[in-house]
Amino acid sequence: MVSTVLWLILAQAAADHLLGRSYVDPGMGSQLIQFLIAGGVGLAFIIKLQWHRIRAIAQRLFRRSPDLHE
Amino acid sequence: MSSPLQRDPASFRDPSGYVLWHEGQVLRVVSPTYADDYEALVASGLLDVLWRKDWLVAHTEEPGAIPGAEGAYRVLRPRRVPFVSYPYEWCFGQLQDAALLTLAIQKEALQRGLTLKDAAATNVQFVDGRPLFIDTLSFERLQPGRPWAAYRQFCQHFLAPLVLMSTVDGRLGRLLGEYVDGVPLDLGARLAPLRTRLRPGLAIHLHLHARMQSSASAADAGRLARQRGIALRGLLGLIDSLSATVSSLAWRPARSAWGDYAATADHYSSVAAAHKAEAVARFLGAVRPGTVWDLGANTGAYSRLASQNGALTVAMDSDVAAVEANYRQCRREREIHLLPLVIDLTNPSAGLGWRNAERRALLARGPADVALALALVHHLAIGNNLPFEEVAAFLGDVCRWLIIEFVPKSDPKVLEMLAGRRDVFDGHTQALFEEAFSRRFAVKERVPIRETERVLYLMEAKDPCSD
Repeated sequence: MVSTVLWLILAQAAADHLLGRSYVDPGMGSQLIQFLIAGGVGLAFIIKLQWHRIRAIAQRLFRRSPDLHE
Repeated sequence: MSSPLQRDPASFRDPSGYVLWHEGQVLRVVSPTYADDYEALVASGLLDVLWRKDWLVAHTEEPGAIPGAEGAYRVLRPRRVPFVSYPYEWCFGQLQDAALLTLAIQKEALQRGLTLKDAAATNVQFVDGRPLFIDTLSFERLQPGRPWAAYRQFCQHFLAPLVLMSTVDGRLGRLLGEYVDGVPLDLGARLAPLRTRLRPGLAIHLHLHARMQSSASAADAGRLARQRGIALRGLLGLIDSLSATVSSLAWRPARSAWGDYAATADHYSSVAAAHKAEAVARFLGAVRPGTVWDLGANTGAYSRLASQNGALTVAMDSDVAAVEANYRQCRREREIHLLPLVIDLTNPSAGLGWRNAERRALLARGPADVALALALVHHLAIGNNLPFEEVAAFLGDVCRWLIIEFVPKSDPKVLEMLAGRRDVFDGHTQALFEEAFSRRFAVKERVPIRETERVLYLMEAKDPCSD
């Protein structure tokens, strides 16, 4: 009982720390999942933004040099 | 002395401010507690960006104090939304467009150090044929490292119903009327077909997300407190992932449903159809309405006779496929005066939410200057066993002028409806129709439609509804 109350106080403090003034209940699970996926979707987002550059670099690396054609 | 200001009954959840009605105009009161966020919003330049794109409702700041709103930090006068609709009245395409607008706005906000603190579907309204974000006080300063507080709300209000409409049935958008804070994620995940678990976006934002709602416990708070925070690129990645997931959803109405509209159109001879359209247009020209409700509008062929002359026309139909087709045409042809909505006239939207007052009943959003009731009466009177007196009373409540088509029992469509059932409709005659309607309306003109036994009427309500 005491431990449950302590956890709840900790949860409240964590939520205050993380979410500040938000009036919508963000849900504990909905916050946790964002920490889980943020790295992955963030990386995917960067790759998407830079995709043309990545492709250009890859093409340059793997393109055969002209003299090999001749 | 009573104040002329009335607080909107749907405006109470967000302590940042509230909406007042003042002499028929909307005012948005900014509370002193929101002052810092409001100034950050103004200084960020986001308002100008969103206004230029026509994504956010325009407003002006009231220069002086408004009596009755003393203590306000600011009072804004936003452009008034001419007809308020609700997410449970939208077709798939409308909910999807509203979702994508919300995400696009969140992306712009994040890039300017702001974030949306809520993501309710009701923050969006359809104005000039397109979705428009109307909650100017939804923005707050972004606190570095913090997750998106409105992520769950977005998934409940938009993602879960869109998944169900797309993968199960287009009619499931109606769940948003039952659940005013969005479809609970566990329910959405349970109802969604197994194959949705194989799509990465849905596996994460719907299924895993739903699972974490039920499995996250107070003990997870420790983990939460130890997190280092989410980088801005993580938040942008989340929005990008949600946008891709929402965009990937599609809804194709059943082939038969689309086919039925063509069949309906073929039902009239071209002479009859042209004569009916010409008479409807003439009646509309005589009344010159500002607002029109087309009741049982199907894909909106007759609605356009009104909307193309500048009347704000709400095209209501209970068939989600018809409304979807209508909405797609509106978007394709950039029609600004037509708003298609999913409305079942035998059970029109009621007052919903807290004290039944957060979402207004359909009838509280009228009356329209003109109601069109074309090829409708037989569906109500025979299809739904509604006496003419009831139909007349309903129509008398929703409009000042009525353009209505009487369809006799000898009509092929009615014969089709009666084919499989006992005919208990001895009273379905033109004389009794006129008698019932004459109690609520004055008949101004009647036009028999060529090559049919149908009759089109222009009627004026006897007891005009007050504003």
